[in-house]
Amino acid sequence: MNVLDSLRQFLATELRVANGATLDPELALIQSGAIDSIELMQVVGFLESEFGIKVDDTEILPKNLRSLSRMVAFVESKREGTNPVSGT
Amino acid sequence: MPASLVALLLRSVKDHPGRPAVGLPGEAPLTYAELDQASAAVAADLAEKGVRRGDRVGILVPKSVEAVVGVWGILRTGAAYVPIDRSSPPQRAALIASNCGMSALLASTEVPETTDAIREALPGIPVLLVHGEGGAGVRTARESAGPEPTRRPLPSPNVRDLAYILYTSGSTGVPKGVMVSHGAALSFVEWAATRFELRPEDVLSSHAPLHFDLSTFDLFGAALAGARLVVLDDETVRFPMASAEVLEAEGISVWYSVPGALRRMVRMARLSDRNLSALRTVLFAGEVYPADEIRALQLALPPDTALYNLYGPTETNVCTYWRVPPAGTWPSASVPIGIDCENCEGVVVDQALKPVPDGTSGELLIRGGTLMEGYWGNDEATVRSFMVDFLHPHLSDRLYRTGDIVTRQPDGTYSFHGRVDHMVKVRGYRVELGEVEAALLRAEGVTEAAVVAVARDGPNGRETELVAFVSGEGPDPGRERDLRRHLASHVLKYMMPAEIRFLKGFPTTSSGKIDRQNLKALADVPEPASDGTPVSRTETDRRPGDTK
Repeated sequence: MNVLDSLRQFLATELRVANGATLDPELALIQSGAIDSIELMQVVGFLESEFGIKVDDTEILPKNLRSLSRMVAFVESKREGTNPVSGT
Repeated sequence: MPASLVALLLRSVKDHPGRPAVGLPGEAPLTYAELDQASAAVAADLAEKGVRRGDRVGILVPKSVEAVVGVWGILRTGAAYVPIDRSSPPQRAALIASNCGMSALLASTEVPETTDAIREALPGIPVLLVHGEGGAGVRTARESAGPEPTRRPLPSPNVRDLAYILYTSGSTGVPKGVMVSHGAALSFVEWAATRFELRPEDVLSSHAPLHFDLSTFDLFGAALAGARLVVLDDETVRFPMASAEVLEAEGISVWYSVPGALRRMVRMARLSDRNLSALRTVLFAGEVYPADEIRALQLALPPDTALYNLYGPTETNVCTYWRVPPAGTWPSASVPIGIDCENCEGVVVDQALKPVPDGTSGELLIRGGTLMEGYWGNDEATVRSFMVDFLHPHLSDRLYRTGDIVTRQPDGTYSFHGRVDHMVKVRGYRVELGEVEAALLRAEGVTEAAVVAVARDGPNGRETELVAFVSGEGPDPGRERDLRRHLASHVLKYMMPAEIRFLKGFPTTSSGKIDRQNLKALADVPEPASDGTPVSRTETDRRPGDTK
């Protein structure tokens, strides 16, 4: 399963996001109310355990995690060892 | 005293027309003169749609400059604003709209389903789209702030008019609308502005959503002082790093939020590495802030930052406050809720409603100028919440029964111990367990339902979680999913139980009531099944403390 589908499945089954399995990758997950702050941390935990990456606190930013497509790009950049955007 | 909240705004418009009033982080704010024009334009539009003084107008707009302009626009018609949580299930939003008889709605194009549900509940309700992209008739705050043709004068609300109605969780399943008058809101905001010495140079954060009463301090406190309000949108609020960047970059001088937001920033956003020299006052309220975490906050902030724990139900607004002593001088593990605010007074009573001596625990009653008028359209709940002031019966004053158990020490400081009823706080939000239970009981095949709150360790530290117990149909593999789907259309997200467990029957007390203590103990025992299937059990086949 690719990163996007794994994330969708996580949102649908673990976080019980309505229509999670078919979510638009560009949907702003927090702005739209699909997930809240507690669930955001669960998503971060899932990214770490599922994809074997380490997410630094300074990387928990809207630009990395705003939407499914941002999360996919974030995971891929971590895996490739390129630097994702981090905060100050 | 000004006649209304509107008078506060107009005073600052007159005194500081060119000063910044409200904006998003990193964007040029509206000045007070622009806020005046923009809100007057919204008010004129609402008046043209038939909104009159005394009406209720809904506001279903995400946190934004437009939302703030919308609140002022509604108030300037003499109507009360009724914020609707954008993450509210459409059905719940429609229930609130019908309950208070909204005469118009300010909406965003981003929340079409909820807007449609309200239209369906109140056919013909005028809807003004004031926020969002791509919608016809959207007018941004800045567009509205341009030169306007002369409009007819707007009515001036007075202290007795309702300023807003905030809906809180209701134990019978119907949310309760807390009615707050301009007079009560003014009493609070004038107290707060004096106590925290708000001034035009201040920069206030607007962190809480509009349907949460914390938001009134920022909105009205900034207007009173002629200060700048920085609106944090939903996304900024949820990302601790983003919130902390706003705190630093915008030079926030007065911050007010639930403890959870501060705890996350301390843990994840490197507060101590930031330049927070502008920050002078941090206020928190809504839930208990553990003492060791307050100490961690103190260590992360500049040493001269004043920290205050504020307490008060929506019905009384803030009624006690505690200034956290400087780091290192504060040995106690408990975090008091502080002393009476200067504009109200607490009385601690026993179960017979007789005052108890200092040092004895009892229910806290509040008298003073900040009390709500009552619950909209719910006289029964209003009557239950108030009692005649037995100490001053000749004044026909009222005492509000908070339902909170406290002890007052001889120095006037209160400590909070818990509730007399089944209301709990989840992430700072009030949840009447009865509301979740009522929603479960409306689901097909549920014969009994009870919800308990438990403290559990989560990704953000120790948090309150809800565990629901139901009897009736089930368990079967699809049952929990169906119940969750049902709940999602009736209750807010933070009211959703972390777990739903199925019982054949409920444990009862000797008086025949559901034994909630027993259920709480059951909730502390993890589900034993390893294959994920729900396990059915009763009081007799499993007791707390049983081993698997």
